[in-house]
Amino acid sequence: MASPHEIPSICPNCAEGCGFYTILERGKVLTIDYMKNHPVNQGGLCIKGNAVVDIIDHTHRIDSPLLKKDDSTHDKISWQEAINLIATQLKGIQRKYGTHALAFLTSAHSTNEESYLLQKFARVLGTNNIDCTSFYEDALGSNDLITSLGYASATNPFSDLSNAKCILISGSNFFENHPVIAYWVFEAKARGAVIIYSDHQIPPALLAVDHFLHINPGTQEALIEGMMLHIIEKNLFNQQFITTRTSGFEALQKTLRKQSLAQLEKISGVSAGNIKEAAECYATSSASAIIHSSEFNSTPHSSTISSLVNLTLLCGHVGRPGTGLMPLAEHHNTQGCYDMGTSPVLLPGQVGIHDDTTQQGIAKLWKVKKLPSQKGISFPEMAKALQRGKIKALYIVESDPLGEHINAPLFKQALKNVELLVVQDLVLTPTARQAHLVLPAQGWAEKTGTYTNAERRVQWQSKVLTSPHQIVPSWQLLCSVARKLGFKKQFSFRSPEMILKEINKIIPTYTGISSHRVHHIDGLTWPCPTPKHPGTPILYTEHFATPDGLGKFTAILPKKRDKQTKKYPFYLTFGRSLVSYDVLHSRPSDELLIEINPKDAKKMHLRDQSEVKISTKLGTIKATACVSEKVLPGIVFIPFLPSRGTDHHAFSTIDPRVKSPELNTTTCQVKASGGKQ
Amino acid sequence: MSAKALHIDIDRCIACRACEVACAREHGGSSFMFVTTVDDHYSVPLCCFHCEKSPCVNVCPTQALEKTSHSAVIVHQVRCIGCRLCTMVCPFGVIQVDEESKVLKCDKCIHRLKKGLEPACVLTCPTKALTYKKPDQNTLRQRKKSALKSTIFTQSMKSKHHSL
Repeated sequence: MASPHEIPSICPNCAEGCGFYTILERGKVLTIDYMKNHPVNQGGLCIKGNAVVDIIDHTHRIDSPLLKKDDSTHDKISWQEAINLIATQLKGIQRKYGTHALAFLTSAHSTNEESYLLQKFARVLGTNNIDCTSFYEDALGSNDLITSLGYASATNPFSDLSNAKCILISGSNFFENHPVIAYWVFEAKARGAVIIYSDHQIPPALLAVDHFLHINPGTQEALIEGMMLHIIEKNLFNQQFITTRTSGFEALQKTLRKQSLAQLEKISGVSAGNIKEAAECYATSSASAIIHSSEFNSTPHSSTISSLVNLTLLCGHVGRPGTGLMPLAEHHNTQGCYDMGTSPVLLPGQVGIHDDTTQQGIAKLWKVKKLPSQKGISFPEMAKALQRGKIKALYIVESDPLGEHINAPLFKQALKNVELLVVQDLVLTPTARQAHLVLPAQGWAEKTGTYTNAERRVQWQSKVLTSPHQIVPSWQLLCSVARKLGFKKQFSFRSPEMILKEINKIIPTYTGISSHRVHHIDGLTWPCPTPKHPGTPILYTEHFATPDGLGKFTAILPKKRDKQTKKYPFYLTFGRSLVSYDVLHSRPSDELLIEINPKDAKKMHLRDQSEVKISTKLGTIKATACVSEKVLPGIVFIPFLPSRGTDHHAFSTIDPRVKSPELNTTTCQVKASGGKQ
Repeated sequence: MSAKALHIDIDRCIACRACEVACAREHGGSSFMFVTTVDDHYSVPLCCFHCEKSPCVNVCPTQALEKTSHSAVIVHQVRCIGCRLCTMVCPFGVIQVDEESKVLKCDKCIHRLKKGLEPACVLTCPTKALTYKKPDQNTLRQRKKSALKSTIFTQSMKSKHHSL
């Protein structure tokens, strides 16, 4: 063990699941090296990937369970005491208030095995109150994908993008958020593909883009519908594909007939000529792919994903190499969390909680009478549920609602109503500070288990390091608590491998994904229905995974949105910036930054780093303005998450369908507020 | 046989700055790579090009800069007197001097090259805008790109004539 040796690892940052080697010497992480033969990133790593070692060496790691004494102090307790405490308290609360007073929150930092176990724990106890904080941004898109295509996931592998002849990139900050995927786009371009890019911000790699469609924020679907109108008018759609493999085309045509290109041109801000050109490129190429880089829901009743699915089905660009639809999630194991069913409405295997056959099958395997059928409380709804006292015990694994929830102050206030708050995390996050019991979590390098990336590739993460201070893995902890509560048979797991074996039985698409098969660098791509199945990189080659095997068109109309007015002349948009990302990358300060175009800044006599006030219909926040060419005139861009602001009312509108925040349709006013001007 | 050299495919740089971070990681905290943006829309990753007729090597009065194996221009800190002449003659502005007048510049990751590994910036580049190849391979890649561009152009001209 004396000489340095390397362990294959998966990047814990985003849903791409890039591979690299961790180099160890004498049990300590020395550095990382690049894995040139990895199927996702071919060795490449972005800024975040290069910083993985810093996460391991975080100086403020929690090393033992902590019991809250008063507001500022915690007492160290033993693991056994912690386990006993959770079990007795959960039992007491369940008896006093009923099972639905318990709620569980996880995040995409969890492995598939950990996520699976947590949702099993919640459901065996009798509640669907389980959610993953990472679904916050794209929950809606995924529900729509399940309805219209069958699975919430990308249809083709990233590397397959290089076979495309036309790539339509829809969404925000693609190049900044997914630099590794940009490689495959460039490879396609090197083979002559046409790149169409639509965003409200100018991309940093403008040279790579053939058609840049500068749209008004939150008007993706108007653009897509404009394209569809033109495709139908010019008869460029794939009639054979529509007849044999889809349903609902007539209804779509009916709603499209109510639209005119002139109207959509006005909404989206893209000229009719450009819409037509993009439509012809997409429709006439032999293989066209779509990348949807979703950040936040773009509009209330957002239907961007549905529009993109419609466009895909209309031209039959799915189920072949170089085609398909690729929605890109932001967090590490988001796909895996969906598959494992850490959702208030989905069971393991992306099946709705009301599906009787699946429900009975799972109940039988879990040796319980029946599974809960009442819809659970989702993460965005949780603040209100807490406020009304509906939730009495909240168990949070590696997520920080006070740092991520759109309405953090309300959430913090409402947390006072719970009788038991358990938070398991690496460091004392704002949420952990509120907890009655804090549990240390293992970092990425200490975990063992599988992760599923956005292209459905299940990869194995071997243990790189031994946890310092004997941190009990969260699956082991949960098993101990469950056994204390009387679920001995259901939670007799002795290793992540054993949990994966149960997953193989429960989820049909994961049947062949055994631990020894996913040890290979390439992993395995689900659906993998038999133990020797090679995996299915390209979905829907013959039929869709919907009940009748047909792809479903969704008839939708673009919704009304706020217009720029004299009082609120700017569109307010949000997005993640390159560096600040997540709880592990400690945030430099609580200052809210906005980006604004130099022309607008000049009009208002703002300089770079001027202090400003932004106001919307709902409230006002202080911020610092950064002047940047990247933002187009008439738009204010806020990097980072909005909960960093001081007044959150300005942002707290909630999407009625998925209850996730509406962030791209608000208009605002910016004014200098003295100070550093 | 000429040594391998760093090649930049400017079209592919998306200003993600991974090369800067990887370089800093590889060299204990300071990066010798500079992603330089133009108008916020375009960007070029700049670092020492290890010129064949290196002006910095020529002007160095103490031979602190030397063209060594792997065709790398290396600075010998012991010999450096901190006169900063090299920073003045470098056409790319990629030689830096720290607060203690110590010269900081790209060493072509020579410790990696000696082990048969490629430089860190090249390997980490997510889009392969940076490559490390023999010069003729680099020019070949560039030629292929340009050939592709012209064929696409002729094709589109042809199809336009057809539609007319």
